[in-house]
Amino acid sequence: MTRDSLNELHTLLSAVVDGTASEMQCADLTKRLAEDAEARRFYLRYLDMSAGLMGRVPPVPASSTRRGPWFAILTSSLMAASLLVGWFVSASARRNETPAIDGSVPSAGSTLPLGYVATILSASPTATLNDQPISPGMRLLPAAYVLANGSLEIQFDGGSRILFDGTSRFSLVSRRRVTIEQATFLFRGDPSCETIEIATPRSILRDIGTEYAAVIDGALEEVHVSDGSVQRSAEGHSSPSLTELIEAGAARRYESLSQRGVAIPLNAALIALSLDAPVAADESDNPTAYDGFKQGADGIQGLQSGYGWSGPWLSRKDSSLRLCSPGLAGEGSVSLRHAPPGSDGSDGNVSAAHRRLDTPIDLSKDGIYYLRYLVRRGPVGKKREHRAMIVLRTHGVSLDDEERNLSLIQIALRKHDSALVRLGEAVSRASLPQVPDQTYAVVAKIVAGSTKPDQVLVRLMAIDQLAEPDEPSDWSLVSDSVETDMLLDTLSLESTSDGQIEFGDICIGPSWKSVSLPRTPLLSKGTPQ
Amino acid sequence: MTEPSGPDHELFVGLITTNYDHLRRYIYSLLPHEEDAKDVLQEVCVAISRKFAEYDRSRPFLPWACGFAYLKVLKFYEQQRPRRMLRLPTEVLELLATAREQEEPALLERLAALDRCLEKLPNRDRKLIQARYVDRTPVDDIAAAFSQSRRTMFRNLERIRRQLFDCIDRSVVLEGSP
Repeated sequence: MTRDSLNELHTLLSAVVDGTASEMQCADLTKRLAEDAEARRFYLRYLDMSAGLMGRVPPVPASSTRRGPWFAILTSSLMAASLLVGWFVSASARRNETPAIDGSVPSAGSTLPLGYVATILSASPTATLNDQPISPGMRLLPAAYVLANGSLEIQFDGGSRILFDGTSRFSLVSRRRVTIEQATFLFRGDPSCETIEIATPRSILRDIGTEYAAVIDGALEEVHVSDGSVQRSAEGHSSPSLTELIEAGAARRYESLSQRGVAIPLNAALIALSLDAPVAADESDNPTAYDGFKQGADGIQGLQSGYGWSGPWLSRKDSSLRLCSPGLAGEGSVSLRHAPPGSDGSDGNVSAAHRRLDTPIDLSKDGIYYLRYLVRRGPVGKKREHRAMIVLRTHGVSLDDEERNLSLIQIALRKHDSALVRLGEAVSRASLPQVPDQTYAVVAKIVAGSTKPDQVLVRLMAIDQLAEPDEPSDWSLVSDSVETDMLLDTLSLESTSDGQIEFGDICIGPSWKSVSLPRTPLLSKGTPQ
Repeated sequence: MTEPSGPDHELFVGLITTNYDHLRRYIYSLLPHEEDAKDVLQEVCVAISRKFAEYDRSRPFLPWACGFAYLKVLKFYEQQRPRRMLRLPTEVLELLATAREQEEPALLERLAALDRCLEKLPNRDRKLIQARYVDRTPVDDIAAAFSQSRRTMFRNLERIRRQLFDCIDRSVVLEGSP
């Protein structure tokens, strides 16, 4: 086969597998397949690769992925309960190979770095997930999970929440799909959330602006709807007669795969499930590093304020950075100001200050870091760039190497209405209108993984929102999930503007509380400076 | 019609489980539409279960099961209007089924190479493949998520599949070299 023929076949087959082939293309392909053995071989290899992509990269292990529809048909119409029990026995045996909590359990053959799909909101103190203790804020990958000894509430990135109560076996398939083999759970969503499809051994449940509870327990399934409605289909059946809409206030029980449910009384206790005494956000509410720029005179160069740092701030002596008080956190606070040309005699549009951390942010190990700072930007100057950026980088790496390898995290507010986060090679941007001369708090949640991807989530908010006891469920910017092993031990404050920019109250800690609780003049006294 | 019972249950489930993915790929190669292929696969599993008593255990299961699959695909083409334009005539299906028998060892080898080649894809390409094949995200959503037009997204998918195909070619040649 000629090179041209191969190229044409690639194009034809690509159109076929994507469903975009025209009538003419289909006729062309059919003719080639009828006449050319080489084309048939090529076709089979191409189609098998496409089928392989579907089958070889599932995000959850085979033992807990949603079973194919054939299985439901077999169990219902042909073999009934005995086979179902047999399958569950074998599935349970396979499940003994409990995956690690880091979710790094993609099945054999799975090679894709999978993106996070949900966050743990809270858990009861004794609860474990895949035999590991649970920390609120942890991100969850598509994988199989076993909850034991308590309750757990997770939030999908699309907004909906599920509270699992008691021993539960479930798999996160994607941000919109879950399989649940065993659980009592409460689902909370609303019309602003993405619809979540929940597959159970007997049912496919789809929420429609819903709050509902369900019990999935072997031969029995119950659905209790308190708000909105739930569309329930029999697993593996597409027949409309086996699809029903359960409205608010109704509850149904299912004991047979192929049958419609029977009405039962709504279980008020079930739909009022809640977490009792959830575990604290983290054992440590203290930041590992803090700086309020106190004890300085005028410039930043050589300043050794705050704690959790290794050495002083470093900056060019002629930098346009100046300390000023009161700062962004009110009376008594100090901020670092990038002064525009002409306002105080400095002449640079670019300024930077750098300081090394005592405790680096290690993206090669599992962990979560929170970085919080205050920032205020004046009106945009004549030049449109008006960038206030925090960079986490590695000491000793040249700028050339850094630029080439993109081994850094950047969080920037730009112009008057945009923001970006960079994690290695991945950049995410968002339009975030900001009011000139308004002080904002920026919180970045840095998710680090040894065998799972890293991710940065950024929230821009008013200062008073820092007083919220729980971390926000919505983030202004979310980076892609990226696999890196960066060891970031230096924090840089970089300003590029002919306008005014101020940074204040920089804080790094292991939990939301460690960076949101009052630390310094922001709200309290006595914090080491 | 006899449904498998007793020890046959276990044997049947074991054989189907082991060969499920193979059957799925076999059907997809004759009926290249995921949903259609899934429907046929369901029917094949049901048909096999009904005829399982006739299965000669001294012979390999897969060719026997593929026989059912082939007939079900023919029936599907006869009875239903495929959702896509490609409607392969019976003579072409027969040629493909025959070629597939001969090609089977090579296909398995290529499938193993696919994993290695996926690892070599750039991150963004892997994400596109994940969205398309793993998450089954609707194409419009993928295009929006990747800030691409539908046309660009399909072009990128074609490019990535071509890269994977070429990578598999090279990988298989290398594996087979002395």
